[in-house]
Amino acid sequence: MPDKTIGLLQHMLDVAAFRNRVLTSNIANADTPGYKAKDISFQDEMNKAVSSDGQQEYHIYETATTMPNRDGNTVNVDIEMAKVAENTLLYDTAAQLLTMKIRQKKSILTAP
Amino acid sequence: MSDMFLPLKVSATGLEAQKIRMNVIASNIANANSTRTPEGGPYRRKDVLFESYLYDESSVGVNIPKIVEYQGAFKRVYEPGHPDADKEGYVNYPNVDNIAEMVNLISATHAYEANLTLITAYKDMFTKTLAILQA
Repeated sequence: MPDKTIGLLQHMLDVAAFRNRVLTSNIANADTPGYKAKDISFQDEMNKAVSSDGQQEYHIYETATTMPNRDGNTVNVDIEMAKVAENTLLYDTAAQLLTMKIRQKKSILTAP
Repeated sequence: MSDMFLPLKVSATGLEAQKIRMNVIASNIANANSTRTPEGGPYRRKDVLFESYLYDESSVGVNIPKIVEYQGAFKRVYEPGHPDADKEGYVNYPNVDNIAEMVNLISATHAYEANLTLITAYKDMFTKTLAILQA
């Protein structure tokens, strides 16, 4: 049975890296009038990535806002920062697991 | 795969924009009492205009297309001895509201820090990616 772990972790890194871009844009535009906060669903994108191979089309949606600003901006910096923290942790986890996985394979190859 | 360092660029545009905003706020506070300007007349409160700047579908930076002058009414103070007093003895002082500027400054500082945090976060992520190579 083929081991899909590395492929899965690769998708996880890809999706987290993409989400990081979207969240970074939100923070940069925290004061831009009319800017709408955007996000992607980590779960949905992972499902899409696993079930299909090749180029992935990300679905970027506008996040629902709890408190719209008077200038039409919907970025809530605190919520975005929490998302960034969560996303960074996911990314780091995937990177760490991938490192472990590669080390494991290496140790198999170099076993005496 | 597009530019690997795009998130850093986007955060940098955010830092830059907030820095310009802070410069403008500093100018407003410094000139809260300036009754003369090179263009003539009292100083007018300035404000920045933020505009989003599209790199690609996921990355949206920000820039400041221009700095606008706030066309509110000047503060009129009765000071007959003042060199810039008009016939009735009133002096036009800039339409700068110091408290509003301070609130604006706090907002700009927080936004600046948020962008800075994201740069650090991305740097850490990238370092973790590099660590995979050392496995």
